[in-house]
Amino acid sequence: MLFNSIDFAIFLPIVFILYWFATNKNLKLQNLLIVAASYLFYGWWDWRFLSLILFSSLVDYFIGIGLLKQENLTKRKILIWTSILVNLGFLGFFKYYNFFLENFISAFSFFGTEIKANSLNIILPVGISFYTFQTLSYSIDVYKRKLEPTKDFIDFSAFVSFFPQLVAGPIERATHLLPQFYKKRTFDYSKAVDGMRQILWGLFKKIVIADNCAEYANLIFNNSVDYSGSTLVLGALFFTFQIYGDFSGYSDIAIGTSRLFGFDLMRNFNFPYFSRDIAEFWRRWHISLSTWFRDYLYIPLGGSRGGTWMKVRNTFIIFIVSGFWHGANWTFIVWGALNAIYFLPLLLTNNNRNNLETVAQGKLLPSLKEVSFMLLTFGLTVFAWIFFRAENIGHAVQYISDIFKNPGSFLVLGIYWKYKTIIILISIFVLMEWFGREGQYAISQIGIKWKRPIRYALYYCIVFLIMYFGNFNENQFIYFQF
Amino acid sequence: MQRFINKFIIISLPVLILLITVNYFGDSARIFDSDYEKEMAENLMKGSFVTNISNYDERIFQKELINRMNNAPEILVLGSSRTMLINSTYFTNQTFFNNSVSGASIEDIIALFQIYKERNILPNKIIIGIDPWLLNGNNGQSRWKSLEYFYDKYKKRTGSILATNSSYKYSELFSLSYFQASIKTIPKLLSGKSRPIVTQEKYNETITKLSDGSLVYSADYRNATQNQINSKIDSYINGNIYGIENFNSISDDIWSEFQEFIYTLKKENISVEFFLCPYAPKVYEKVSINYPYVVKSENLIVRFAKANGIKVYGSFDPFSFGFDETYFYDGMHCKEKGIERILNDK
Repeated sequence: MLFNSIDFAIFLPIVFILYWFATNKNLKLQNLLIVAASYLFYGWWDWRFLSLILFSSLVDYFIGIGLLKQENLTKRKILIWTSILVNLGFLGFFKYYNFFLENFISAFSFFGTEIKANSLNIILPVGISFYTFQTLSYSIDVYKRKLEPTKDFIDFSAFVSFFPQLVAGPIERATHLLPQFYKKRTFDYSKAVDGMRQILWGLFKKIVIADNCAEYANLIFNNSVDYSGSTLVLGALFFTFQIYGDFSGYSDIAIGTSRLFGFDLMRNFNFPYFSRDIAEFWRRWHISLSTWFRDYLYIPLGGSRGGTWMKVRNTFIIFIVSGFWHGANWTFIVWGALNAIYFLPLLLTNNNRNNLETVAQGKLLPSLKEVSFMLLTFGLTVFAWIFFRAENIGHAVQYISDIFKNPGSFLVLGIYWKYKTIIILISIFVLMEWFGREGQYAISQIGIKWKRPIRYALYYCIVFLIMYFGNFNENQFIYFQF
Repeated sequence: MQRFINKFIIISLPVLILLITVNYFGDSARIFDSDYEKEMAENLMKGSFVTNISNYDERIFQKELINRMNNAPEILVLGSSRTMLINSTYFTNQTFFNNSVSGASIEDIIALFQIYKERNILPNKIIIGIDPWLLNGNNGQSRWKSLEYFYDKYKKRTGSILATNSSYKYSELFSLSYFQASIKTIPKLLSGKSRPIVTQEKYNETITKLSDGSLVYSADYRNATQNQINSKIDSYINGNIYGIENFNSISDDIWSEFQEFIYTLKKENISVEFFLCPYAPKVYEKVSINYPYVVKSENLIVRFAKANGIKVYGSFDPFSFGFDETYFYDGMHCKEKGIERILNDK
């Protein structure tokens, strides 16, 4: 089920009413309802893959129980490795089997050995990369004794399958989300209103910005050989806003929906396109994944301790693995490696934690220096997104070289006129994000101190923009494929 | 909790009212204004032309036209927008009518024939517009559903109801896509320019339906400069080619249905001819390389026509007639001078 679908518009109020009116007196019933609703939500897409979620939940639940009882270190290691192998095994099979097979065949044929192996027609289960990482975090935290394992399977199932964040995150840590299932939730009016506001902003990002940008980005990327350099740059910019609007929009809807049910999910985006360097960008982009890799991969590898070589190695590992997490394609690996290259100079010169505060905090406008650093970072990010979006490495290289083939086209203003509506919408969006950058999401702060009629006029304007400019083709979220 | 729900309802109410009001009164596809097509059809049948027409259901309009006919036309054209410009001047001394509808699929052609049959006013000759998407099972056409009742009757299926009575239209009151289309008609509605204008002039500012069922394009389309036309052709090539994306095979079902339909016409002693409107040259160059099943369709149709003694006018290939870009209004619509040359081609 998609957040931007009629199905969800019917599903959500029904679950909300049942949750607060029919089951609110009994915590167990409430959690059971969440499990049932989550399985329905997921099964709406393909019920066959519910067995995967159930199996993954069972494995990690029993491993958690096993870890609780087991004091022997070797046996504890066996248990944790079982969890890692099962979860990564699923991920590897469904997501990477064909990729590895094809690359092995290519590698062997390069050395003159022909191998015959058939690739499999595998459907990638939606959200598998998200919920496997979430369950892994549980087992690892239990193994490290940071978390007491749950003995209630319903609570654990609700944590694994919680529908607002099941298919595209934020990837929650068990230490943060699981205890919320143990406590009785009471309806919090201001939390629910804030949740609705965040859902509204998420829908605007997804339906107005991302889906409209997608139309043009797809057209330009799919026919890139036919376009001039200036249009190709526009195509890359459209994709840049598409992926941000799509994914952060999803996160906003997920977080807002959770708040309606009394849950707090972790923040996933923090206005990343206003970053002044790449290190800041990565502290603000897909935070739940970046911190996951930091905690469960980077730090165990030694992090930034040790010598220069160690820092370089660990930085490349974390960025390349992060790229590969997105999909079985060399384009994602190059995207990850590019970001590692951007990041390394900052790390090696100890400048990777320079910009911890929000840009121009408490001010209306940034300084010229801040603007230039933001533009530079944004430009580097856009360049990297070309690899992320391209069909393959050859396509990305061709795309980039075509940008420079006709520099004169940048001066033909008529080219931009064709895209005027989406450019105006993006401009409105960027302005809103700028003025709201100190809040949790853009409209969490904007208008909050205004008089009620003016504030409501703003919300109605956003609703009208969604109704008038929205793309209602129920486009899937990009991150469903990861 | 109650406060939250009340507030949500109160805030949502104006949005809901706006949505329903715009969809009902803006009514971009005229699904709530059932008189629109009737009004158009009545004026056309009186021998007048109608202009200032937009967003009506072309299928329902054709049904209304046929229902008002007293006699069978001798020559009938059934096809898509690519045959809509074929008019009676090409067929002197014969009664003629053009029932083409935009994006016609096999179901449209069959359903319109069925309406003629039910009225017992079958023509002597039917010129069928063969479009590149006709044999594409993935052509995405669904507009024929307005005539589903007649299509099902031809197929001797029962159960469907007349589209005008169907309740599906009320779901459109809540449709956000319909809102986007309908809100654009509100200025016209407010200025009182939303109704069809009856005229005796063939050439008007907006598109004009003539009393023979054919169409005359709007002034800006007719008078577009060659540069503007070339630009339309270019953007057509850069986008999806209408109806033939995912044309991965010739649909066996549609091909059987098509053949069976032609044999039915023959049994009814109706002479059949095919009309293939060319693509603009640049479009055809792309289509012939990237969409091989379009060329295969044409070859199949031509072979079938030959085997059954059916005359074929035209080809999807503009080069076979020496047409350049000046023969086109856009990527897929040929100008009248091209149509005339094709029809006169021996």
